[in-house]
Amino acid sequence: MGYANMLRGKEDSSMHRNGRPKVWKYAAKSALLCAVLALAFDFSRPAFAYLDPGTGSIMLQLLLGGVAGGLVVAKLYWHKLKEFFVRDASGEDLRAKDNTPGE
Amino acid sequence: MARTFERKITHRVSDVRADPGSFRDPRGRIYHAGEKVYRTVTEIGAEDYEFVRDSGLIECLQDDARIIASKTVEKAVLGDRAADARYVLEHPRLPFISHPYEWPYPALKAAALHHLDIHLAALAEGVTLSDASAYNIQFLGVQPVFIDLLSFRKYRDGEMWSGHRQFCEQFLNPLLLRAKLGIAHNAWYRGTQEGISAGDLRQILPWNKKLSRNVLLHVVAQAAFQKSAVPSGDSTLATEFRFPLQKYQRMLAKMRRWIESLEPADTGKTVWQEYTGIHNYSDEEFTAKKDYVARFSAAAKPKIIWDLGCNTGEFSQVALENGTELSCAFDYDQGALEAAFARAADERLMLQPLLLDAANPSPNQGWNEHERKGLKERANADAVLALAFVHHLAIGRNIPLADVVEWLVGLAPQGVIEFVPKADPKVQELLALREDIFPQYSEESFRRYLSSRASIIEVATVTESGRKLFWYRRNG
Repeated sequence: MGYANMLRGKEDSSMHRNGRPKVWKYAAKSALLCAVLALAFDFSRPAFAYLDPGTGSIMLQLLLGGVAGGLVVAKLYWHKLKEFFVRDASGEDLRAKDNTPGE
Repeated sequence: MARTFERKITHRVSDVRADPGSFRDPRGRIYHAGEKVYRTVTEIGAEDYEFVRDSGLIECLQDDARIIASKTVEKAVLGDRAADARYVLEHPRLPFISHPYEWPYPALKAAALHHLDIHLAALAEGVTLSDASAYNIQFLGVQPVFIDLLSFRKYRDGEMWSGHRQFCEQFLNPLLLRAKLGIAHNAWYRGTQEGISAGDLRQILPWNKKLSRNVLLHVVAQAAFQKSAVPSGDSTLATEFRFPLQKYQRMLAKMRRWIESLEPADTGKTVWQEYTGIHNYSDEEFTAKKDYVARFSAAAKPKIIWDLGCNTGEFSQVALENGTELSCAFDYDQGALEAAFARAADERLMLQPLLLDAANPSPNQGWNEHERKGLKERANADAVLALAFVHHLAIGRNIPLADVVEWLVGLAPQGVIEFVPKADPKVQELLALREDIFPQYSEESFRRYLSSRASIIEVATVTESGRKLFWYRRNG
C-alpha cells in the first residue's frame, strides 16, 4: 500500500524537498499566521445568506496550498483588509456601501 | 445462469424496501430484503464505481476488513427497484447499526482515524472520498468498518479535500469538545445529528485553547472564513486553484497525527469505571454472578446480547467467553464505556460499548423522522443482560417497576435480570437523600410483573443482601 510509510518518515522529509528558498517559506508561514490571527480577532462581518457551507474550508485549503493559494485568499479578502484600516470621512463603514443585499 | 439466479433470490421481490436513511446520494441506494442488504449503483455513479473497482483498492481494503465486503449480484434480486441501477451489490448484514452520538470518545476517535487511513490509502491509488460522514463508519466490536462504497470516486488532479468541513463537524470538533473542554460530544451530536460546527466550537473555546496551530487553522480560521463574506463571483477564483496532491496528503496525515494525540481533558476516574474494583459485594458473590452469566450464555448461545448497564464490560466478557457471539454493551457512564472499550481492544472481544440513558434512548430522527433509527427499532438481540440495572430506572429515575420490566422483556426473547432488594446498601444509597415513594418496588411485584410477560426459568440468590438473578423466557 505504501500509505503507512507516508504517515511516517516520508512526510517530514518532503517538507524540505520542494526546493523553495527558506525565506519564502518563512514569508508564507508568517502570512498564514497573520491571516489566521486577523481572522481570530474577527475583522469579518457576518456572511451573506446562501453562502456555501464549505466556503470556510475552501479558503483554509487555499492558505494551506502554498504561496499561490495564499495570494488568491489575499485577493479575495483585499477589500476587507482595506476596509478594516480605511474608513471614509463620515466615519461610515465602507462595507455598508459594498454590500449588495442578497435575495 | 438461470440456476445461479434461482439460488440467489431467497425473498419475494415485493419484500424489498429502500433504507430510509440512504437517500442523499444519487449515485446509489441501500435496499433491504429479508436478511439481505443490497446497494444499487446508478448510471450517475457507475463510472466512478468502475474506476474504483478496477483500481484494486476495494479488494485491498476488504482483505483486512477495513471496509465492508461486497459482491456483484444479478439486478433481478431487486425487481423494479433496480430500474435505475447499473449494478447491484450485496453486503453482509452488520449485527448492529450504531450512530456517532451513541459512541464513547475512543470509538469516535477510532472512527476518525479509520476514516483518514482509508482516505490516505485511497489517494495512494488515485481514488478519493467524496464526503466524510461519520455515519459511514460502523463497528464490529471496537473495530471500525467503512460501509459506504459509493463515497469512493476518482481523484481529480488538483482537487481539494471536499469532505474537510464535514470531517471537522462530524469527527474533529466533537473530539475537541471533550479533549479541550472535558465535555462529551453525545448530547450535542444527537441534537444536531451533523456534529458540531467550527463556528459554535470557536465561540465556546477559551482563548488559551485556541493558541495552537491546528486549532487556529481548523477551528478559528475555518469559522472566520465561513462567517466572513466573499462576494459571490469572486469565489470562482478558488475553483481555479490547484491543490497539490502532496499537500492534500500532508493535510490528512497531519490531521491524523493531531487526532491520535488528542485525549479527554477530564481524565479523572468516573464513578463506574472504578466500580468493579469497589463493588460492595464479596469476591465469592461476584464469582457466583459470573458463573450464572456463564451458564446462561452457554445454554442460550445468543448470537447478540444487549448488556444494559454494562459497566466496564466484565459480565459481557464472561458471556462472550461462553457462547455469545457479540455484545452491545450499553451504559450511561463515559468512564465505564471507555474502560469497556479498552477491555474489548485488549482482550480482542466482540464487544461494542455504546452510550445509553435508558430513560431517554435514541429516538427515530433525521429526515422524515426515519433517517436514523431509534434504539427500539434496532432491537435485534437474542438475549438481554440487565445486571444491577433495574433499580437505577425504577428508583433512580422514578420509572414504574412494571414499565421497566415490560421494556426489558420487549427487547429480546430471553435474558437475565438482576433484582436488587430495597434493603441492599446500593438501593439505600439511592434513597438516602430522598423520600421513599416506591411502595411497589419489591421482589414480589417484580416476580409478578415478570411472570405476566415471561416464564421464569431459573432464579438464583447471588449476594447476602438478597440480590437475585432471574433467567426468563418471553411468552409467545
